[in-house]
Amino acid sequence: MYDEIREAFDQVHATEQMKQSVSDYLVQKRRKTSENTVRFRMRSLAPVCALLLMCIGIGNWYFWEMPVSYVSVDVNPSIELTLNRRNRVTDAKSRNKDGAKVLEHVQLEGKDYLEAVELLVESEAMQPYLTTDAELTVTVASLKAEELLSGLENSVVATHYHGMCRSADMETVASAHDHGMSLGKYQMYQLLSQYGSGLSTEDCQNISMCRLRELLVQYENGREESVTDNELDNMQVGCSHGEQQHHHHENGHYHQ
Amino acid sequence: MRSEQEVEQAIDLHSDMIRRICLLHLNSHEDTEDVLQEVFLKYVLHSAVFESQEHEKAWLIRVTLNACKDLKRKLFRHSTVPLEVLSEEAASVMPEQMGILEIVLSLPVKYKDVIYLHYYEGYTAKEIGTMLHKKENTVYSLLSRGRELLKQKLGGDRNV
Repeated sequence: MYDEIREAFDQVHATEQMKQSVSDYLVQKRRKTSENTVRFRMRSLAPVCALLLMCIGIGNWYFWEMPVSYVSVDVNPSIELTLNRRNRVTDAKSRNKDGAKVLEHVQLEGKDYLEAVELLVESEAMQPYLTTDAELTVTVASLKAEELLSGLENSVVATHYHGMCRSADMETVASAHDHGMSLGKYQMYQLLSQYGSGLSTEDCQNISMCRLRELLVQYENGREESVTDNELDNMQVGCSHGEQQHHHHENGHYHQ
Repeated sequence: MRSEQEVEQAIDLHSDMIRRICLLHLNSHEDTEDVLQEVFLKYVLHSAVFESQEHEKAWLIRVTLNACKDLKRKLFRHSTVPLEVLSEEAASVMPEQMGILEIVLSLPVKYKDVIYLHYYEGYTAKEIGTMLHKKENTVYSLLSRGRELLKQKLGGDRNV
């Protein structure tokens, strides 16, 4: 019986066709597995590449584009510069019509903040506004305001134009932008509001810095009443000779 | 993953055994081919090193039995006597041995494996128990009852 069972099962073999089909099947599977492995590797690499590109993008933005400091230059033209981490200008925006006219003639993006401010102040387009009594005000909002201010105080802004260099906190930047104003002018508006001048942000946008400065001096010297309509009309006209500066002050340059 | 050469060797060496186990459980050559493919695919992907040829063989037996069970479950096959597949063997199996095969294949499923593994492959009850995850005593009982059934079917005059 033992032998009979052995002999019977001995007759049973896997056919050549079965063996061949197994071999073919395995070859096919091996090919698919290697293709899938390549595909899987490519697929698993894709998010890594995407992440890498994102990191490069964020890093690039962090170092070159992220706004870190704001510098506003106000005479009557109001211009605001946005600086990156390396104190380079990433954006230059005008905050009133005169500012837009000046910006048409100067290219400030990519320049160091000090070079940009000097270029702006000494540009031909800015000169008509820089009369002897023009109140050139440069306002800085930055975590490293002191460093920026010390640079500005040693630049032509202070040495040749006797401009004022001020600092403002970063919260003021957001409020100024909400009102469409430059940092320097908005700071002036805030000071005048504290004295009860009654001027609105729109009023201030149309009044030159020298006029606002004159008003501030009055309040600092004890004036108590708010600005009348008549005064407001007069203030809309620039300093010196009672007319708009850029029409009349080519001869009155403060430039030395 | 195992090398092609290693796999080809295993196919040559163990295909017949897998084919015989399939004969105990499956009804057609197609099903046998399916199981052969599945078993050798698992063999290709099985990265552990076998301690010996015997270890490898025992692993293949266990994988084949599981593959047969899975296939039957998948296809809702009844565990009927695989006469169809035997008729496919008619050309290669001599008539007197065909009778023996028919009798072994007609045994209830639980006896077929132990009878085959003991009488053909020569495994002891202990080894079969390890392979099938059964107690040694259970294997002895299955062998004993299977042997009785074989005796009855063969006419009771043979010494099993």
